[in-house]
Amino acid sequence: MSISRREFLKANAAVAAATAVGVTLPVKLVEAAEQKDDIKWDKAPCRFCGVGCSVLVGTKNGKVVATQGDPESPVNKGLNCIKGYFLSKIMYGKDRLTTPLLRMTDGKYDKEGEFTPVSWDTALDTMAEKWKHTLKTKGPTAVGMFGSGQWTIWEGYAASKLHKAGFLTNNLDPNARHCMASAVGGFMRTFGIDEPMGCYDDLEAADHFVLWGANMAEMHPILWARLSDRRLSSPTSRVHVLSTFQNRSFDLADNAMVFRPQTDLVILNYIANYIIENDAVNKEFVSKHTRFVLGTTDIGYGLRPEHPLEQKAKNPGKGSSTPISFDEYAKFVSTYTLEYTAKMSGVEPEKLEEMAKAYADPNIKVMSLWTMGINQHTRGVWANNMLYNIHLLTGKIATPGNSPFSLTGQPSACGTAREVGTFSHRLPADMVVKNPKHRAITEKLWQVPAGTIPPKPGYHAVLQSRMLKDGKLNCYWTMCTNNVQAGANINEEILPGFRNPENFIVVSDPYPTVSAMAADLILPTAMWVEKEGAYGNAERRTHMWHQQVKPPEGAKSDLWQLVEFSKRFKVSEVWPSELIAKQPDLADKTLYDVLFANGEVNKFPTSDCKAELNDESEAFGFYLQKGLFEEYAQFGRGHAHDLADFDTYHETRGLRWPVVNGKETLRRFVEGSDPYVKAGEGFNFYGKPDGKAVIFALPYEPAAEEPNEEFDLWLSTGRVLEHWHTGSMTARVPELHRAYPDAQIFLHPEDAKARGVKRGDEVLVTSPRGEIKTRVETKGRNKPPRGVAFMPFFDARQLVNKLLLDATDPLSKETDFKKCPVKVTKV
Amino acid sequence: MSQEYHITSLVVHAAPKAISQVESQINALTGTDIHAVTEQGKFVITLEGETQTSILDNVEAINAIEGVLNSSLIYHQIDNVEFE
Amino acid sequence: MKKLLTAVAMLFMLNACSGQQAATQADPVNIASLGQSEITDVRAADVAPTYPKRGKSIERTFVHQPPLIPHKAGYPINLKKNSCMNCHSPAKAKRMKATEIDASHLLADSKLNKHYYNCTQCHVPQADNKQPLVENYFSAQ
Repeated sequence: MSISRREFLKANAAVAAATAVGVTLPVKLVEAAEQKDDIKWDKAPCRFCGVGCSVLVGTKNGKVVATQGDPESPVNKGLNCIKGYFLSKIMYGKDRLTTPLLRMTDGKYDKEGEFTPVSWDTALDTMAEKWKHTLKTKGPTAVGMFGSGQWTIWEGYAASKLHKAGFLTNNLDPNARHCMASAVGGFMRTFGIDEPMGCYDDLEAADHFVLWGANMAEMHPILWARLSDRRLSSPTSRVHVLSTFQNRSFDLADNAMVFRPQTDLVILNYIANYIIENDAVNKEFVSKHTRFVLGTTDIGYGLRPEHPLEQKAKNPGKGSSTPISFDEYAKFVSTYTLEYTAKMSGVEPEKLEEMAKAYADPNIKVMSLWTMGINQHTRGVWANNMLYNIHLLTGKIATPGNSPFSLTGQPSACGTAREVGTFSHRLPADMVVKNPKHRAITEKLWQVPAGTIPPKPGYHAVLQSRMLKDGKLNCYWTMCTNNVQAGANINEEILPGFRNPENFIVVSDPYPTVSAMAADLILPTAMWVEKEGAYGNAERRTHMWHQQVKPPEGAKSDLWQLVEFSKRFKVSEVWPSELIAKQPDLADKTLYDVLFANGEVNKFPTSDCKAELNDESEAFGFYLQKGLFEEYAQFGRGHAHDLADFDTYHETRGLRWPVVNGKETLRRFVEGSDPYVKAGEGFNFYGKPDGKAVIFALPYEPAAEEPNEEFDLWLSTGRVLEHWHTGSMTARVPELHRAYPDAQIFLHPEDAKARGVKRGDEVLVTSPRGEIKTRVETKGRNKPPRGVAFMPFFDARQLVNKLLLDATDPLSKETDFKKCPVKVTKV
Repeated sequence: MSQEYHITSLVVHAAPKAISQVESQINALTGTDIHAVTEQGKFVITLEGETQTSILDNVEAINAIEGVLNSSLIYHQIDNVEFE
Repeated sequence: MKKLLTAVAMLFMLNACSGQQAATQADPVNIASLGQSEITDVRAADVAPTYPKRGKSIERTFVHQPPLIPHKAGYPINLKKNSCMNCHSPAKAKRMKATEIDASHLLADSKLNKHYYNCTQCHVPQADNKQPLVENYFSAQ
């Protein structure tokens, strides 16, 4: 598009005025404002957190030269956080990988050899040989993959097909297991259908906000900006913040509460009790739309079965429940009095009561927000259930501003990990491998014989590490994730599995991450706008982007890698003869023919792609992304997971599913907004057969480990604003690195003093599983109370998750990264 | 030939009841463009002209429109442009 | 690193001695994670970052980059006050010799748009005793 200088100046002026009043202008005008630099602008979702901001990506001469907030995005309305602004630099670290690297000695693969450049053919052939040998000798449970909530939708979908219908294994799990599995468990148990009923619009509609262990100021900055705007512009708005340590979100808190780790369970039951005792139950809503159950207790800590804590538990891993009455529920929570709760949690009683009052008052619209504090919790599913209890008892749900909102960690934890079902127990659209009907539906859509998909759930993320160490999982491919830095108990459970001589480990990544260094084969990966993609954010918004630049020569997208790999397997090499007998014509075909060139995935011509670049379509000869998306979308259409047609997403800033008759859905389960709720029903929790949401009676149970005489501090690990996860991208951006260069341990000044150290001193942090060295911070953005410490995990030089126990929620299998007893000593 | 080009942007706040009327009156002025109007009655407007005076005349004219509550100048730039 | 170099040297010698050539065989490469050490090592902590008390504005590296903060940035932004405004508000910036808040962040009445209240979510300081871990080839040209 050519444009005169005059138009450019005019556009600039208009954009300035529009920004001042927060009005969005047509993108053409915004583009016009940039024309003087010959920068070409196109949209893409940010590739970091789960908020799902849209950014405008400026390209010139085949490179990304700028990024800015997208004024047309309803999510971020032109704003980005510091990471989002610096997206432009994440692809240009000097050590970008551009060739496959195989550990070799004397020109041959050797587990103890050195990384040596090989061609893509050599890399994939070597892999295929290992996979075939393992499948033949040990069967499909010995191969597996660890994927990502940062995968695009079609990458997750292709991986799911390749494993579940190709290699006949369910050993596929995403890193979202570490972040959203408890949220999923909560949704499925309470509502029978995954993902939030409300949406971000609730941020402008709610009166009070309650943050449950979520530090939104750093982890969801754009939503925090919207929340701040609401708080500071509306005289009746209030913010309640709960955390185990004071953090940046406390800066805007009207009611700040620091509680003792694990006692969130007590506080949640206290609020339910308060609502009942003060006659604030919305009786009509409760009787019409909910039922009550008593959950099984003493369920263990998701450790290895021989661990003393598992031996001691009465019902390890059990998620069953029995129906009870409202009165029985009321009696169950009646012991969670204000006095008991204040004593257990250490929170001042008047603060607890102030929060309980807000929930109980029918005239106050409350939005609850949570992420890792609730999810990375050995009772994470319970805590999710208990949060919904509060909103269900009061009927404060699915209406504007009344919104229990589960925030997401990763950009496509919802879109890829959850909706596509890349978990070891799941299939697309909330279906599960255990259910024979679900398998049959999937096999039919995938055009594979009945009985292809194995009925037994595969190894979940934490079990994958254990099975690698035990030599039961031998061929392992990780993509778009960095578990040797991010996972818990690195020394004892993760690294031994990577380096187990019986195993062949492949890591696909743009950069040499810690995990890549521990692998046997590294595959260089194209990232973000170097490929076409689709993500699904925390408010059910599916959004897409086009490939905008070429990856560095030699790097290939995860999608290309998965599909290209499938070409190397003949059906007869990987399927048992009984299965082939059901469809003998498949025997001589490759997995590529069966899974991808199946008449569905390859039915759209490359000419359908409106972008100048699409490396995958060019490589395979059809519009691969569109084919995968349209095949996948069939799972959800007509089943309350409706997606729009593929092209619509490229034309919009995304749509919130279910998208029915071209219309997105802001709030589910409620008449007038959700097309699946009929007139006259009011509410319908249709995920459950009886249309009723479930209120769970669940107790407080202690954490897996508590501080003792030797390991006398609770350690929580997490993120910081400036870095994304393990820093493999953000630590390579000079400005972000210099903004937050090193991880530190945040301590109370008195705790530091008691250990003979002060701010800036080097300390040794020890747990029974390992040690790391870091420096003390007593004045920074996080201010823990006595007895608590916090450390971010982005820093590859201080692998803090070595210290953590791999205790998980026994129901969701999500690790608790927030409660590890450690000792801090002076170096 | 070279001449001066003035470009200004304004946010005009009008009473919501008067939106359509204000809109048509602004459109009637030379050199004005409306880029956006919100439900609350906020207009994003650009004014173009060859002199400072012509711009200011238009600003005054807008302020005088019935239903306009307030206007604020956001951006002003003078450019020497070679118009082709 | 030392180990790797030895390995490379040995590989070279082996090839030379055995007469088996590896003309198509590439040499091992030296790659390292940002940790720059063995995963099992307990690496000494780097020097603590320091942030300058004051400084000159830092040039942007691409269009629309939010300006970096050339000084330490631990000033309170809370319900009561936004300390950044003490120097950067349009009314005070000139006198304080500070960069004025961009017009895009202001409402029509020149007050700060509360959507932009949390300055440090977009603007960050820079440690003056730290260098990039790896070079970045980004260019705005």
